[in-house]
Amino acid sequence: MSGTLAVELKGLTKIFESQNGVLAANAGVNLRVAKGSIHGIIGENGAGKSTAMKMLYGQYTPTEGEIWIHGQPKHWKSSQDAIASGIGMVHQHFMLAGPYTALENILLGSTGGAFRLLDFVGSKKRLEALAAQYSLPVNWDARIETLPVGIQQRIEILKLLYRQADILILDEPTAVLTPQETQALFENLKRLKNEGKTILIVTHKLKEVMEITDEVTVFRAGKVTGSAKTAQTSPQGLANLMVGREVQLKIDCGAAPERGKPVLELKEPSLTVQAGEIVGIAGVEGNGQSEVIFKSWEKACAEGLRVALIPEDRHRDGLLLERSVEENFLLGHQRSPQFSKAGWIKSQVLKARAKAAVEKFDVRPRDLDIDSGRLSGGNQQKLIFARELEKNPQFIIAAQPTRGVDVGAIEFIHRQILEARNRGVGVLLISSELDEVMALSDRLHVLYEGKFVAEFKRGHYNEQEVGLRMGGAV
Amino acid sequence: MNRGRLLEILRPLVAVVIGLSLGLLVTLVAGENPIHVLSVLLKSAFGSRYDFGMTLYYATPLIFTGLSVAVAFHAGLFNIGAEGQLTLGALAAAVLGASFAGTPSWIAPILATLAAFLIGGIWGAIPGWLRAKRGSHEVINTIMLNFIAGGIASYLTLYWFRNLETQNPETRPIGPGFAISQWAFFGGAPVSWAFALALLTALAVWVFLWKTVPGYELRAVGQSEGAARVARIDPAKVRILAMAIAGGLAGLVGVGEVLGGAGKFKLGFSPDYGFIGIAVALLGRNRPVGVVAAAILFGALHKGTADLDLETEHVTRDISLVLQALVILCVSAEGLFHLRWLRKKRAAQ
Amino acid sequence: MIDSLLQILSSTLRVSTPLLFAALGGLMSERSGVINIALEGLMLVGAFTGAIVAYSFHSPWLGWGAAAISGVLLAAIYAASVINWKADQIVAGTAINMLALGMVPFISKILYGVTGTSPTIPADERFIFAPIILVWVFLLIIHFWLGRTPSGLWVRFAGEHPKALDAAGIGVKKVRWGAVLMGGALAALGGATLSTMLSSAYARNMTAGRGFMALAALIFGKWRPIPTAMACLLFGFTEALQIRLQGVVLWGTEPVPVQFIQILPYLVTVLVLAGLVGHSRPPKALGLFFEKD
Repeated sequence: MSGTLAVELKGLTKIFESQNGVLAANAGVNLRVAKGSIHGIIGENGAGKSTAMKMLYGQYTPTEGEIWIHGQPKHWKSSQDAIASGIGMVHQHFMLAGPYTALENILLGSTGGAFRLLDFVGSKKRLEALAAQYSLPVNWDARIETLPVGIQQRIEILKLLYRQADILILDEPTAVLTPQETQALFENLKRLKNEGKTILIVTHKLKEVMEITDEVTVFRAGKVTGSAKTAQTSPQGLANLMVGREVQLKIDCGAAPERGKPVLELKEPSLTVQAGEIVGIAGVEGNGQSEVIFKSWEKACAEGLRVALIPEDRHRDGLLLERSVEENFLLGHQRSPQFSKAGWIKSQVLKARAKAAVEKFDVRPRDLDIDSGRLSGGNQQKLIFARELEKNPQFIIAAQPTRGVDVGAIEFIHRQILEARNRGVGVLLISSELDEVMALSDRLHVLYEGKFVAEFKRGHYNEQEVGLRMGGAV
Repeated sequence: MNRGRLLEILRPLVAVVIGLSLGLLVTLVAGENPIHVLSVLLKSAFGSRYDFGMTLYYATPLIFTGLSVAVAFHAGLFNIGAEGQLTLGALAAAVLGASFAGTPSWIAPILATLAAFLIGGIWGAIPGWLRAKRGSHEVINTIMLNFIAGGIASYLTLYWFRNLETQNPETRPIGPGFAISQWAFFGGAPVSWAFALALLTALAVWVFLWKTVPGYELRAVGQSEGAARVARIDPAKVRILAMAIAGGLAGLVGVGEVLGGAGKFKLGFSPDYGFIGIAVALLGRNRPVGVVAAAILFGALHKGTADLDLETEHVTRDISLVLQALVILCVSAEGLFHLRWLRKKRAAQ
Repeated sequence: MIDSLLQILSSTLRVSTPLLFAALGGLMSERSGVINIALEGLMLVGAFTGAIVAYSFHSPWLGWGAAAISGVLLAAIYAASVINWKADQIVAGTAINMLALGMVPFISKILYGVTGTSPTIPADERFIFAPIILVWVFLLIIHFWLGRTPSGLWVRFAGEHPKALDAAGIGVKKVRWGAVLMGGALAALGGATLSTMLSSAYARNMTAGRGFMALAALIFGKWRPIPTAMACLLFGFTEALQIRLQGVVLWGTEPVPVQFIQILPYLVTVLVLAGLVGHSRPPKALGLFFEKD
């Protein structure tokens, strides 16, 4: 039996030590991947999927446990050893340097002496042949930063094939793709599988797991909680395994209230949000979402509205990571007369309000002095909601509100958004999770290359059509 | 006090001890007895009222430069430019004092102090503006501006305000009304009200950073520019303000050196107070209280090593720089102090 | 007129040599992602070691070799601090400069009983022009090495996208160590050139800010070898001009204040960085500590 296994992880454990203590990112992970199959790895954020894959790829050294490849035990010092054993990985954040050419990026991993001359001409020829074989054309002399993400992913995949990898790991490969691009990718993956390659695909999208994988393994809290033939499972079953309890996959939106006056009227691109409705924006990331968010925010602020902003990147724009929960709660309120007077901060008021808000929004742990950077993703997002809703907003801009957030917090956040709408607040929801925007929005715009290319009303969504528009089809 | 806080205070202390020990071991190479060197050091820094007074005198400019670096740091900026800021600040005080020598003593020191703060502040605001509006990095700009300030100070001193009574490159003496009195308690050491001003300034900086809205906004920008923007804070304004304050604080070095000390601006008077300020801020964890403590330590090192020339055969006061450098390295090298056994113990729990 | 022009040009070539060595040292380090404010201290130590070894063993080449080793040793302290022990690169760089400033007179006092100048090297035991040629050879080697070899690529990725380098299975820390040590050797050679070619002995603080000027040239040159060399020539030219213009009356009745010429390179750097004269983008990971998660 072991002869047909491409990958076998036996009791793999990885413990990280830091100043803040010890974290077991993986605890006794067992995984068996059959040769020539597509194997799905699913789990929530922080469940340990990436850690396990990085051990398989030699980037991390396991604290305990064994890695077997094609029936042989392996002890790797670095990824170079793993690459030599035919393993390749496409990371979620591409490992490509912007100012250098595609060719240079591929040659980075080439073996041989450190001081010999690189063979640019010969390598390019071989790469072009490879690209033609899989019909994945690339301009090899272009700098990476000038290429769209889709092409960058293509380069990453060709990099693995160039190194003759026969076990391919793809970490969240569809996050940056339209549904149609995703289909194209899947076609290629199936073709690679038919050529005998083994593929591990890490994702949190159950639908994709059902569609492309032969088998699936579920991670939760650093452990494997289940493994099955895909054909014998259901999305609901997988979701329950991921979260460890019964999950509500459907969102109940209830009836929308009467719509009020517009809270946002944007000219370029043209966008209106009225009080009491949720307007969703779907689109592949990088199609101008940031600009829409910024313009809406500026416009609404300029009109003197009370605006709440849930930023798309909460670590960059939402929090002071090395400051206490209390100081984070003050952010944006610091000049409001409730919290300060003549330039002096009212620290008693601040403490009391922060305490009440942390209670109400269930931020755990209930500690006002802990650095916000030490909260989990979900609790950080709850803290931001607590702070922003303290403004008693007329208009909420929620960008990627559930990214990197655990399922429990997702339910909580969705409820907050819906309740706000029901109170008559206008909500602009920007999300790259198509399911999320389709479920929550009363109206839905599709953003493509900075322009709104389609608008849908609740009840008239069709994933196929929305997806086509996301890819720029007319 | 919780364990994290205790460690936060303990670690720099341990680092200081290790750095000093390494430095003293170096003197072994010169054939000196490190214990002897240490005793000379301690005696020279704290041995008498005069010695301690000198230590405080040296600590005074370091408090100002340390606070300068710390304020900039809280705004997310690295002020390597305290040296240039203090040069021009001190020059401004001296030039004012020499040019309006008849100013009465009830107002003169205040005017000179303001001049030092203002000119230092303007010089600090330049890299602040360059960073905020042109996006060029303040580290390189402040280094460059140090040299430019040196050139300007040298030109103004030699060509415009030169003291013709001596051969030394210095400005004319300040008027008698500008001099601030030295404390007799310290037996002739030039420690003056400038030291009290330094302590008061430290207090003011603490209040500003932690109790006021502008201080909060400054720290917010230092933590996260994006989050600050979302909170309707203009990072450009805050950065310029922070660097202006930092420059002004460095400029105050002139108060002790010119008004309370030499009575004139001497070219090259600062033994790198600006750079040592980086170490002072680092060792003091950018907290005003810590800065004062660290400044006194470095002042003691400076004073303590001054007598090594006479008391030992091979060790000169230059060893002061070695000691300071090793202390800085040990304090900044965080990774050196991830105590393994501590982690093991926690892992076991 | 032609005469003095030629004089200034040859003088430019001479005085820019130590600068270029140091700038190449800085380039090695910074392209790998490690800021190098310590160039000044590395140069100083190189100048001292070069002078005393050249004097003691009657060979400038030995002096040079020793200087390179001293640079590597000092750079090793720096590398350990910032690459392994997570020290802030600017703080540690400042400390290394102070260490050099303190150590040199300390050792000088032990060896010669004085903290100032080292003994004069006889004229026939000094360099006449060898470093000038060598530095341009080094420049070309570094230029091609960065662009055309795997290890050159590693250095560039270490400074631009260290995670990608790590994912390719190459140790980021190792690459940075190599680059910083090489940079230390080069900067020290710059210092040794100062004491064994441009003058006849080590003199106290003889680098006088040249390390920082080299850093400025590196930025002016956008972290690329050939443009950096051009910047060094430009700065060398202002230095040559300044020597030449000392006491010369250009207009009015007073000689040109030397301070104005002295500050020119620094002023140019500030203007360049401000985007008023071209634009310069540093390596993306410059100054950032790297740790595998």
